[in-house]
Amino acid sequence: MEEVIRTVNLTKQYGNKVIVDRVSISVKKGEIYGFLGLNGAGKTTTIRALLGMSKPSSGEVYLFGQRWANGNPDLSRRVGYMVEVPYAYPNFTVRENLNLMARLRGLRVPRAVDDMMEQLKLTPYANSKAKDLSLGNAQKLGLAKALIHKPDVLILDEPTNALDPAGIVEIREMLKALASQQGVTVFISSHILEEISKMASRIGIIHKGVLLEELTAKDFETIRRKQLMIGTKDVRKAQAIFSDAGYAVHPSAHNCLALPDDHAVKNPEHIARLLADHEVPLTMLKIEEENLEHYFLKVIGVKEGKRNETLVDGLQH
Amino acid sequence: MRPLLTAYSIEVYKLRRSFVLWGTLAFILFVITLFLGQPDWTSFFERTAFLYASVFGLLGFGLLTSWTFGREYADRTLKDLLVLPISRGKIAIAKYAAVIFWCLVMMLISFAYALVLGFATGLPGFSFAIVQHYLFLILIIGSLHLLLSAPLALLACISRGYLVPIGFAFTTLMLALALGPTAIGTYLPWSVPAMHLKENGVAFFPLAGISYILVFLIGLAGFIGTIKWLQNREQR
Repeated sequence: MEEVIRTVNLTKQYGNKVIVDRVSISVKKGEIYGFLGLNGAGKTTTIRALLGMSKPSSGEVYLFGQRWANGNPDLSRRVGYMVEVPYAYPNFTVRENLNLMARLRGLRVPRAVDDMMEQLKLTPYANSKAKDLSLGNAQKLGLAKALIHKPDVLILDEPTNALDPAGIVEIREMLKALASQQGVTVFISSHILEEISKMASRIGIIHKGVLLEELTAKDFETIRRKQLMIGTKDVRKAQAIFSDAGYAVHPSAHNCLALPDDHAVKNPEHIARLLADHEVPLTMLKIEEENLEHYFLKVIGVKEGKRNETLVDGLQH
Repeated sequence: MRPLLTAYSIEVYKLRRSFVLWGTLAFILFVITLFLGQPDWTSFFERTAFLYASVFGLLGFGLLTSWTFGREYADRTLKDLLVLPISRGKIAIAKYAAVIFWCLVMMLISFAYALVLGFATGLPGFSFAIVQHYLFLILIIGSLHLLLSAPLALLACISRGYLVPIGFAFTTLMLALALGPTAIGTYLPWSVPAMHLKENGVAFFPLAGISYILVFLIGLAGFIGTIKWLQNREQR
């Protein structure tokens, strides 16, 4: 399959500080590549190099097999881009902002603009000034500017930051549809890890400028730990029952018990029956998968402990 | 060529929709109105031309240039321009051309306004020769100011906004007013437009060829510097 984005030992340093350290990425046509990292990990610097806004200190960037250099209009035409907080001319309406972009891209106005507003449900806001838009709609306007010329590759830097849950789902579905139906390659950076896991076909984890790991969504499914969570009115008795039955069991938050045993995870009905036989009322039974945050923190080497749990709890809620 | 023309027409449109352009023009027209008490057409035009040679030129044109380049940083829209399939050099040229266009329009509108105002109040001593002379003079002074505005574009890019170049424009106005009527004025590019006007009357410190060359060099350095800055700099 065609390789759309490729970096070879991409390195960027300012003075002695290495921001991106020999990052080699390959993204194929139609893939949604999730680029994960904490703030300051080097995501935006990598993206700026991908867009030709920043010259690598060493290493190379290729788009569609061509070495990317500043001012290559043929490549620029095939790339759409949106930053974390997209900005537009504040005193221009949504339509005017899109008109400007469409004209600069050599597109037909107003057709391209109308289509784009329709697609992103921005038509009701066509005559609203950009400065009056909600953060979510401003984000959509940014996305509309990035998509208006129907790019082959879409590079998004933290695009779901300002969106409400409904907006996030909408954008996610749209990106998935663009990738699967139109073969658009999407490179998306984020620190909202659950979000990335729901749409990315491949995930790269960057930390302190180094690409630590790349894995496919399938890899992640198989790697991540699963455990059976049990809620009961008599935790002590239940714990004793499970221990007697030979299950590894440990108490969890909110008066719950966690059974990491593979047999328990695959056969939750046995566990329910076991408690019923001993007349212990069951209040909750669910399989909990290790979330991406947990996995991510494990990969970047944050030690298990209070700080980690607090961070993970914070991310989960 | 077509991308350049498109970028130019968009920059013209962006300025047309800006308060800065119309606010500056309204201010110019207001000040011209204040000169109505002059005894004849010659002194009325002389006053108007002097305003162009000082405040209107250095501040008005400076404001427009600073805004055109600085707003992209202030509105954080520069990145949108940089990822377009149009070279950064062409974007800088388009912006500068739009500034030239609107400064020219401002000059013509304010000159026409002065004419209408003069006729409406029945100023004595009208002749086509006077109109032609002062229109030509104002256009030359305007051209000098357009050259002097080029470094402001570079300053807007370096400082990532319009406040620093506007501050610089104020400083140059002060310098031109303070040092213009001295021997240093000959070598101070920002006082050249006002002195060029005086050359047509009584010149205490006549301009030398080097004065115009300095203005040209300042303009060229500002223009090329802006293009190079946008082309070569890492854009954050």
